[in-house]
Amino acid sequence: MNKIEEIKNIIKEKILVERLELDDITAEEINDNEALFGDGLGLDSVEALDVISGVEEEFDIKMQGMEEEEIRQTFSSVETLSAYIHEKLAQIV
Amino acid sequence: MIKNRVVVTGIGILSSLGHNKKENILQMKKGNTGVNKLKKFNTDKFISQIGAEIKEYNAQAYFNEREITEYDRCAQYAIISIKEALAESKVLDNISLENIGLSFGTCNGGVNSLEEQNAIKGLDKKKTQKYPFFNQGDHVAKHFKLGGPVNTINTACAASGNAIGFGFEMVQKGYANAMIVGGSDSMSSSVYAGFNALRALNSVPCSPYNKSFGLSLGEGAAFLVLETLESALSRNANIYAEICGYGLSSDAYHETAPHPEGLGIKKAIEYALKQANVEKKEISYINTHGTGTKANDSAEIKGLEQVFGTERLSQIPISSSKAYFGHNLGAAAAIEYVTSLLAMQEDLLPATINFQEKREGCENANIITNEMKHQRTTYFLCNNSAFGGHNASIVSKNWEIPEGEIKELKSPSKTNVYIVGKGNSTTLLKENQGSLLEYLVSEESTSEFEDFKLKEYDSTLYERRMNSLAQYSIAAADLAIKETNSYSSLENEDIALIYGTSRGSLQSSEKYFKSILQKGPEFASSIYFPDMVLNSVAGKVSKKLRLQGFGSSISTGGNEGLFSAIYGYELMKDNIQSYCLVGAGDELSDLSSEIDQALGLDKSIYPISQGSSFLMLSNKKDKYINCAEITGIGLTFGSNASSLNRAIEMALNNSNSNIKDIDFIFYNSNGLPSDMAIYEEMFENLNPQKSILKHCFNSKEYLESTSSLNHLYVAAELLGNEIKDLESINNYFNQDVTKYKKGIVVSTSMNGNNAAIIVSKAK
Repeated sequence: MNKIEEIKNIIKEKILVERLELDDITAEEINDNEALFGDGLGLDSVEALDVISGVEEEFDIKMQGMEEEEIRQTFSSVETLSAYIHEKLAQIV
Repeated sequence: MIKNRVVVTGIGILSSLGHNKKENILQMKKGNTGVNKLKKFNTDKFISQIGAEIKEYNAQAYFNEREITEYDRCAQYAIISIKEALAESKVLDNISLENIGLSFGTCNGGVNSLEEQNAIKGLDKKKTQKYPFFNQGDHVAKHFKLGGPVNTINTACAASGNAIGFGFEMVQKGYANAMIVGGSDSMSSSVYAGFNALRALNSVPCSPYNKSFGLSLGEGAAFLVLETLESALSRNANIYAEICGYGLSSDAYHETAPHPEGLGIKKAIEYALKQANVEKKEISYINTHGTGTKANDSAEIKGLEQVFGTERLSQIPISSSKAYFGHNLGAAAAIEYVTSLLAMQEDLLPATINFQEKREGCENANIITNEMKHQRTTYFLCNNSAFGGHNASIVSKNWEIPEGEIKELKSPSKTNVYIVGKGNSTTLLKENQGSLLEYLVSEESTSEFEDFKLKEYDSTLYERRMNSLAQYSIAAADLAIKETNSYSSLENEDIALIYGTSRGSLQSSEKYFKSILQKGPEFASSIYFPDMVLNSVAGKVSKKLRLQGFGSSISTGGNEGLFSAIYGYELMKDNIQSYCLVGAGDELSDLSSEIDQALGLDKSIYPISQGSSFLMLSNKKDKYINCAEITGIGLTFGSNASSLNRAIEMALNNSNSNIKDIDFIFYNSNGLPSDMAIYEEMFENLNPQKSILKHCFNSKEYLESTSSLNHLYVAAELLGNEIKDLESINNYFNQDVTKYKKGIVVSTSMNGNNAAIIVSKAK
C-alpha cells in the first residue's frame, strides 16, 4: 500500500474519477503535476473537502487540524498529495 | 389596485433559549446562549459536539397521539409558535379563517421523518408522508383550518425571510386579510453531518465576526401575524412594527459560498429599500445573517459597505443573533426578526455574544457585542443569505416610535404583465420543435426525452454531477430567455427567477443519504449535501444563466408552476424589475417513487413523468408581438370545490372579468378520483357557457410541479397564435381555437392548494 505509484492510482481512480464523478476525464489522463484546483482539473472548495474525506476513507488517516495553507500546498496536485500520504502512512507503520 | 400598509400584531417563538417570547427575551437580556452539548444524536465522530437544541421538548404537552403521528417535528414546532402568535394578536376574533393564509419557510422540511427510518428503500408510508417540504405548510394550514394563500418557501437559510416577504405581499395587495408568516426547522442528524463534512461547524459556541470561525446549528420556529394597518387600528391591536418592503436576490455564484463581494445581499437590500420607499440613511439597525463561517461574515460586511458606504456602515449598529440561537436555517430569519422586535419593545437591540475580537475583514463594522445595546430604533433591516445563493432583506419600522406624518404608499400605476418567452425540456429534442400544445395532444410517445443531456444541448451550461432536474430546468430556462431575446435585448443579470419544485432533486438526495447509510455520518458526502436544499436547482439555473435578480423557490405540492407564475406576476406589477422567469421542474428517481407511493400519487390515472417548463413574464412588450397577458390571479387553500371556486372568483374579480367572457378553462388534475371530483363540482358551481372548452392536458404525462405551468404555457401558445398545425388542433378540440380571447388556468393540489390565473390575448 505504501508504494507511491499505488497511492497515485488510488487518488486518481478511486477519489478523483469515481468519487467526484469526473465524467470528462479518465484516470490515465490525469497528469501527476496537473493542478487539482483552478486551471487544471478545476475542482472547487466543496470538492476539495470531498477529496479530503476520500483520502481519510481510502487510506484510513486523519487530516483534521491542518492549516489552510498546508492544505492548499498538500492538495495542489496528485504528486504533492501522494507524497503527503506516503509520509503519513510511513509514520503509522 | 390599492396597496395596504402591513403591520405585525402577534409573535410566537420556540427556540433553544425558550418555549415562548417571554423566556427568549429574558435569556437574551442575560446574554445567554442556547448552544450547548447536543443530546438528540451521537456527535462523537464529528468536529463539533454542540448545537442549539430546544430544551425539554415534550410533544405530548402540545399534541394528541394522532397529531404526533401525522406531523413532522418541523410542523410541530411551527404550530406551537403560531398558537402563541395567534393568541397574542387575537386576529381570529375579527378575521375569518377563510381569509387568513400561511407563508412557511423551511430549509429541510420533514427530513427527520425520513432519516429516522435509516433507509431509502421500502419506506414506511405514514412516516414518509410527513417528509415533503410542502406538507409542512399544508399540514399547519389544515391544522388551523386556514383558507387563504398557502406557500412553503424552500430557499434554505433565507426561507423565512422570503416567507415574511411573500406574506407581506399577500396582505399588501389584498389577497388575504391576514397572513401567518415565519419558518421552522428541526435539528437533523443528516444536516448536521453535512455541515460537518463541509467543515463549517465551530467546536465552541459560535460568535459571528469573532476570531474563531464556524457556525453552530440550531433548531426552532418563529411566526408572526400580519394584517393591514387599518384592520389592526380598528380592532385596537398591539402593533409591533410595520413591514415596509422586502427584497430577494440570487448570487448566481456558488452552491454554498456567498458571492465574495456580497453582491447578492447588496442587491436584495437595494430592492427592499426601493420597494419600501425608505432611504438608506434612515436605517438605524441591521440584524445581519452572520453565520460565523469564514466565507459568510466578511463577504456580508463587504455587501453592506457597498450599499451604505464604509463610513456610514461604521456608524450603523449591526449584530448577528446566531450566537444566542445558533443557525436555525429555514427558521433563522423569522427567529432573528421576531427577537429583534421583542428587544425593540424595550428600546434594546440584540447583541452578538461570546465575542472577543473582530476578525479580519470585519474591523470597520459597528458590531453590538456581548451586551444588548440601548437605542430607540426606527427603521431597520433583517438580512439573510442561503445555500444556492438566495438572499432576503426586510425593511421594517418599529411601531413604538411615534409617527410624525404617515408616509402614504404610492398607488401603483396600471401595469400589464405579458408572457413574452417560453421554454420546455419536453419538446426540446423533437426534430421540428413544435408547440407544447401540439405535443401534449399528439400520439407521440414520451420516451425519447428521457435521454436528454444538457451537455449535448449546450456543454457550457453543464457541470459535473449535475442532476437531471437541474439539467432540464437550465435548458428550459435558457430556451425561454432565447425566445425573449429574439425581439428584446435582455441583460441576464437583471432577470428575476421564481422556481417551483415539490421535491428538489431526489437523485442527489438519494446519493447523500446513501453516503451516510453506507459509510456512517462522519463520511457524509460534501459534494451531494449542497443539493439537499430544494433551492439548489434554482441556484444552479441562476448560476449557469447569470440571473441575479429577485429570486425565490417554492413548494406547494402540485401547483408549483402556476403558483410561481402568480408570484412572478405580482413582482412584475411592482415594476421594480422588467423580466421574470417563472418555472418548475420534476425528476424521476427511486426515492421519488417511494414518495409517490406514500402520497398515493402512484394511483394516478396519468403516467408520472419528468421535465421542466419556463415562461418569461415581463411588464414590457414590443407592440408588434402577439402574446398572452395575465390579467388576474386568485389563491386559496381548501381541498374542496367551494375553495377552488373562490380562487377562480378572486381571479375573475381581480381582472374585471366575468365568467361569460371566458372561452376556455384549462385545469391541472393529478389524475386521482378525489381531485377529479373536486373539478367536476367546481365546474357545476361555476356554470360557464355551454360552448366553453374545458380541458386537462395530463393524459400523456403528469409532472407534479410542472404540469400546472404547462396549462398556462399552452394557453399562451393559443392566445399568441403560435400553433402551426391549426387544423388538427381545431379538429382535436372540435372548436375554432383562433377565436379564443380569454381563458382560466386553474390548479388545485392534493392538499387543496388552489391557484387560478386569468389569461387573455394581449392588446
